[in-house]
Amino acid sequence: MSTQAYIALGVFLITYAFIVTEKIHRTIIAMAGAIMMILLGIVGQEKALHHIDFNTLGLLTGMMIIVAITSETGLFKYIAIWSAKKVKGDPLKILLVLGVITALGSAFLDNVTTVLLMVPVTFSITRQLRVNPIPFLITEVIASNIGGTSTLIGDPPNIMLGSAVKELTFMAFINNLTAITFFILFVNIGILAFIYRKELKTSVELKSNLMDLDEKEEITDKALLIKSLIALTLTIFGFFLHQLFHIESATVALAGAFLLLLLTGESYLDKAFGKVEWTTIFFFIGLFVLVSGLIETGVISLLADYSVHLTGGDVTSTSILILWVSAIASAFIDNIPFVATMIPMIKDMGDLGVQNLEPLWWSLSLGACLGGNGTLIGASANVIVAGLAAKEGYNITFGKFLIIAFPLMILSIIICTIYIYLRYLI
Amino acid sequence: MKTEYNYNEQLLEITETVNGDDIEISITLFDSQLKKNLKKVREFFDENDVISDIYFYIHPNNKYQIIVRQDFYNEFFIQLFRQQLLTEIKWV
Repeated sequence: MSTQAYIALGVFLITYAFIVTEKIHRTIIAMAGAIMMILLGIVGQEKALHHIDFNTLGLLTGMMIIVAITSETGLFKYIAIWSAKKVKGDPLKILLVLGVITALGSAFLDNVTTVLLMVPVTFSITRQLRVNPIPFLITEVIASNIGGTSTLIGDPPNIMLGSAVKELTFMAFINNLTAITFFILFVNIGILAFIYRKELKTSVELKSNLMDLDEKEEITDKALLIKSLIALTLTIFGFFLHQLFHIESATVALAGAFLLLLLTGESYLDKAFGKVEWTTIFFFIGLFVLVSGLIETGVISLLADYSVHLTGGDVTSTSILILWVSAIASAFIDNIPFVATMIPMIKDMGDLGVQNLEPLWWSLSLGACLGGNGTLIGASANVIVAGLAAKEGYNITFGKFLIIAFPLMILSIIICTIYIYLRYLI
Repeated sequence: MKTEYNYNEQLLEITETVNGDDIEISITLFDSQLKKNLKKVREFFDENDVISDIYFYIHPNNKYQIIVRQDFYNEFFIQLFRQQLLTEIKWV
């Protein structure tokens, strides 16, 4: 390895260590690391800019704008109350239904946004029924991470994969991941419902109180709801067709966002842009530049070479290794920098003679996204929900979450191993 | 310190019941025009970062059930007054 490669690896590892310890905000650290890569001459500014994946950033920004406006309409409260009434106010069935709604929401929206929309309405429903909200919150966290795995736009690792590999289109994700992730979802929430079944009891009177709620009144702005639904439907439709029209997914998301702003008028412009998570966007920018340092100095190629030697270039063992390493790593560290590093590595494996990369990509996606369910710090949604619950006096401790979620995550990865093996490797 | 309040009984009705750590307040609006005032009260509590300050449930026929945490009791009635749903409020 050249001196430049050692410096790049040093900057990367120090930055990564700071991201893991969470002593300083991850965005500040990622950007500081990226700037160091440029200042130390590892990559020039122009080259660094070329490594920033604007498709990932555009897709995230577009969807954040659409969600920011749609969440103003009361749609999510309406859906949650309507569903709770459909299952006659039975807490156990509500747990299942809210889990499925969260997963569906996370399949098309950012996981953190989905849980932020679901948590208040969950507290409201559980308070009405006087049942413990913790089983519902844990189910929603797990469902959110599983649901996010099912589509290209559901979770940042998938967005990055879809953007980096041309063949991994929106439809490719639907065809390869949606069925298996929803199977995993039903297994997970079924087990959670069994574990919590004794806690989820309420009185007939409280159920009838819930049944009497008027969910239609939750819609705060009907005109805005119609506009939001038009934009959201067209955007999702656009994702299904983006490959056919040779349009990138970022173009679809940004078209949907600005169509909605066109329909709502500029009064929503500042509010919508205010709700875009710029810290996440800049975190991605920092990571792309950091990883570019490793790519340009040949560190990634060396790692890929080493991995191919380790597995003998065998697709089966490489896929299984990627799946399990991604899952265990993502249970403890942020899956975004992990995937950012793995993408160029897998691409290099292709250059080194690994014939069929498809199972490797799906292994990375399943491992990185589902691994987040392993611990309380495994995914942003977990941390956000635990924080909100603690503020309201309900402690979801690291240990309490681990006992429930880690075995479920391991079970999910075992299911994925069988799926990957049967579908792609024999 | 607690608050005492009055309202126009021709326009609405307010009843309170203590339920553990919370107070359940039932509000019935006789004038649908007041719905937007009550909506503003809800928005006020929705915009802060406390989820369990008030839980707001909408029932048919302009009936509302609001579960208010004890430490937000005064604030809730101050907001009702601010939105002109109360005619008078005072510290007692």
